[in-house]
Amino acid sequence: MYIDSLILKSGLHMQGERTLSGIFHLLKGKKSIQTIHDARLFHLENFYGIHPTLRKDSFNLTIRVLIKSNYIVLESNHKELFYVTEMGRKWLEQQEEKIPFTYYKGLTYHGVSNVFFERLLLFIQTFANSKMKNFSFIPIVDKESITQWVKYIYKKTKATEQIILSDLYHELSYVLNQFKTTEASLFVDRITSYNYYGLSIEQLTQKYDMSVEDVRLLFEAIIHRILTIVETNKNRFRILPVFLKDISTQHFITNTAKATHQLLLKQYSIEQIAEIRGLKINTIHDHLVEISLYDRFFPIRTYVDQQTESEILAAIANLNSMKLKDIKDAVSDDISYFQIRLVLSQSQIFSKMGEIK
Amino acid sequence: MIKDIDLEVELQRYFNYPSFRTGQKEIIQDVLSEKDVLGVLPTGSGKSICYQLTAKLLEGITIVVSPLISLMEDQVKQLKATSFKEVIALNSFMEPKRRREIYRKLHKYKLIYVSPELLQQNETIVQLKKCDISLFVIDEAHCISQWGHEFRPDYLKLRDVVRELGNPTLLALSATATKTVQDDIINVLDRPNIVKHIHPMDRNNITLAVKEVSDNQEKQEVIVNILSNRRVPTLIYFSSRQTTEQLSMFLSEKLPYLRVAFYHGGMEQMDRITIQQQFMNNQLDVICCTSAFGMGINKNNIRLVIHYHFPSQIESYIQEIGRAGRDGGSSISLLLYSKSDEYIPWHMVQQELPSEDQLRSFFNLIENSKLKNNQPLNLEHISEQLEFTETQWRFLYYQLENHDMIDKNNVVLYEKERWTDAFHTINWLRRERITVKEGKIREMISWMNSNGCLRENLYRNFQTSYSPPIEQCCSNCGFSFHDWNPEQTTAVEQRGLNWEEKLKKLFLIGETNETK
Ligand SMILES: Nc1ncnc2c1ncn2[C@@H]1O[C@H](COP(=O)(O)OP(=O)(O)O)[C@@H](O)[C@H]1O
Ligand SMILES: [Zn+2]
Repeated sequence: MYIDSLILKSGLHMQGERTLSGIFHLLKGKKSIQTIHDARLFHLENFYGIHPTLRKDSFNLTIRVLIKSNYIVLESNHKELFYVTEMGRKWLEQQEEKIPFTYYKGLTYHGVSNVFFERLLLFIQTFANSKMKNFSFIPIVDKESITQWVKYIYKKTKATEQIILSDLYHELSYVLNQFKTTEASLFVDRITSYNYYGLSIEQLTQKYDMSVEDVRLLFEAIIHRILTIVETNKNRFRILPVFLKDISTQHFITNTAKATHQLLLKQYSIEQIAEIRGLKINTIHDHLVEISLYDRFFPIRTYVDQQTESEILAAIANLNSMKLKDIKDAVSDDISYFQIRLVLSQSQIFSKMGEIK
Repeated sequence: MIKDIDLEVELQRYFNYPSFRTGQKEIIQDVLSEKDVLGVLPTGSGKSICYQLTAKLLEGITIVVSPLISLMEDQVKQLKATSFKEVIALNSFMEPKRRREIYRKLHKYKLIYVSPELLQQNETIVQLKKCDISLFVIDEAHCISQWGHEFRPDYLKLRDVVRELGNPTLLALSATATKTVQDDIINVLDRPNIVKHIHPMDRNNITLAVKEVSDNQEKQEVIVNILSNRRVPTLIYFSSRQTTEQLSMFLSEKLPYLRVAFYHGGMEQMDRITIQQQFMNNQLDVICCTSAFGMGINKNNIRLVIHYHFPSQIESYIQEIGRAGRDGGSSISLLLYSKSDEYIPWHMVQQELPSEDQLRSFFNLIENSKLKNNQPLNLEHISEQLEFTETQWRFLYYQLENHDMIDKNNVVLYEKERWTDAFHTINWLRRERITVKEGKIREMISWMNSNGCLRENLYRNFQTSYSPPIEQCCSNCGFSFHDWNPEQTTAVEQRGLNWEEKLKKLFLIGETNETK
């Protein structure tokens, strides 16, 4: 079961620092500052959002099994905090081989992988049918945004349809050759073509004798790896990168933070934004922290000067803790929570922390 | 002018069919000459063409009201696939933004499917009124009738909608309408001069079989027996999602060479399309499904329809077995039942309508809150609190509207003098609906248990006679599965290929264009 291993693996990074629901939100990809923050903090960016269909009840069931097997223990005075035991660690080591942990790039591809895959599927179906001059087929994907996109590409490239199909074939088979045989064939089994519809998730579970959850997780991993291969060898590929174009990752940020971001880009101050939007200053602060999580060019110096940052960093190192309240108590009174959160949200700091721990 | 066109030529041009099926041409001709029409044609006879072709031929817009959103969407998909592009389905699940976009270019469409609940919204009417509407189609028109098996209160308002839209030509269609229901449709729509095209619904190529068994295990044995040496396109109907999954698993294990899958409304969209289309493509042999399957699908060579649970009315049964043998080839319908199944439809009826307790709690709740403070109550909240199902709530909501007990903002209007009366009236209507439904269940059960010819009894309420069966008649007239040797499907096996070979195949590498 992949999910057991993913929980243990994440747990090892967090050892007693975060709650079980923290892991749940991480895997499910909750769009909250806390969750993304934690993902960065504990170097679990790659697992962020890789299991969007995870359900609380099945998660809890897994946890109960893990506790029973003595792979994790709950802290006695705080039942939500937990540790991975030595036994758990040993067991995980044995699983390491079987599970494609390294394929995942959750924070990078969350929200991208699905669009990429659906475009690719519908594209193959459309071009294969077009090659066979069959123009009345039922599209395998019927989301407006996907069908519009494929239609657009189809119109633009119809003239070279033959070459495109065969180029895409060569590119895909090059990529898939870097996978284990079962992985490659799982992926191929899902493809729909002319007069042939690929297997559903349910059918894959039967063919590969895996649970629905595992099939989903493995599939997600495969797509992340395909995306990684394509993105790191852009020059090798002509067709595959097209499927990645214009996928908006903006959806990470909540809409309300987006509106604040727009105003920020127009050089309005926090106070002005609060006034224009009729929101509290605190709310705008929340938005800024959220934006800073995604925007690597966030102008942190506007809000935190060098000296303040050093003081906060020193406090973190001293305390060996990320708890906001502890940090606030350890620094000068004029340093605000807002400033501490901004400093915390910078990912370089997290990698430094990683070394400390 | 429009009368002079050669309808066969148009049919060929737009839909690529060489000729009309029984009933289609006459209906289209009448509608084109602006006569209102009530058409009753059996499932699978091609009712949709009656308005789809007409929509192409008429100047203005054709509106189709249909109760099932998934069905509308399937039809739109299929039309688009056949190059009928000026078509759209509107429903209340659409994002408001997208709906507004569509409203802006409404005049560009020839055929607009609308869900009945959307027609209750003023906005929709305002938008539709801006268009030139030539034809108003009411699909599944039996939903208008209290006596119909799928009564939908919101259908009752269609008369007013049609009037609002300037009384365009009306076409009411149904696959299952007894004489009583037909009269009801005409009454409610207030079109005494409507032209009726009533066609018999018996299917002479379907053999009817009913088998009583002692329990579910015996049902499974029977099914395994029948399927164990026959590979034919098969549908097995269940009353619950869970059992479709269980039986699909069971049959896959027992009959590994058969390709079995399940289908129900709870599946993800992509998986639903996949399963439907695999079945269409002969990649699957057997589908274990709920009644959600088959609505939009037109596979014409289904040879066997099995009911693992019996439907709660004869009308549904006729529709569901009607999916077999659309190509005219001989097919079988087998209904399996054990005495213990009988509670299922009774239970379902309970779920469809509010209980007396629920109703009473509702009335008390409103009254108490009105007497205490005058805070308007959130209706959705109440529905949740009293654990109404969606259909239960729809019933109550409609009744509140109908008795002017609710205002535009969904606030219940409380009048002390009328309160008890209102409760009793609605409760009486509730009981009446239950009585109708229970009558339907009894009718179904009594048919299953009848000793006489099943064919004769099945169609009795719909028509006076039936055409003689082309092969075997029914299990009461001596049919047995021993004598059934249908032509088998050949399964093209993809299994042996490794992924590289398969990928090559999927990308049609080495394949030349097929230009026919
Ligand atoms: N004149 C015709 N010739 C050939 N096929 C037809 C004709 N009219 C309808 N069909 C096909 O018959 C099938 C059933 O039609 P449909 O309108 O869905 O039936 P209904 O609504 O009466 O159950 C569809 O596949 C349709 O394309
Ligand atoms: Zn008979």
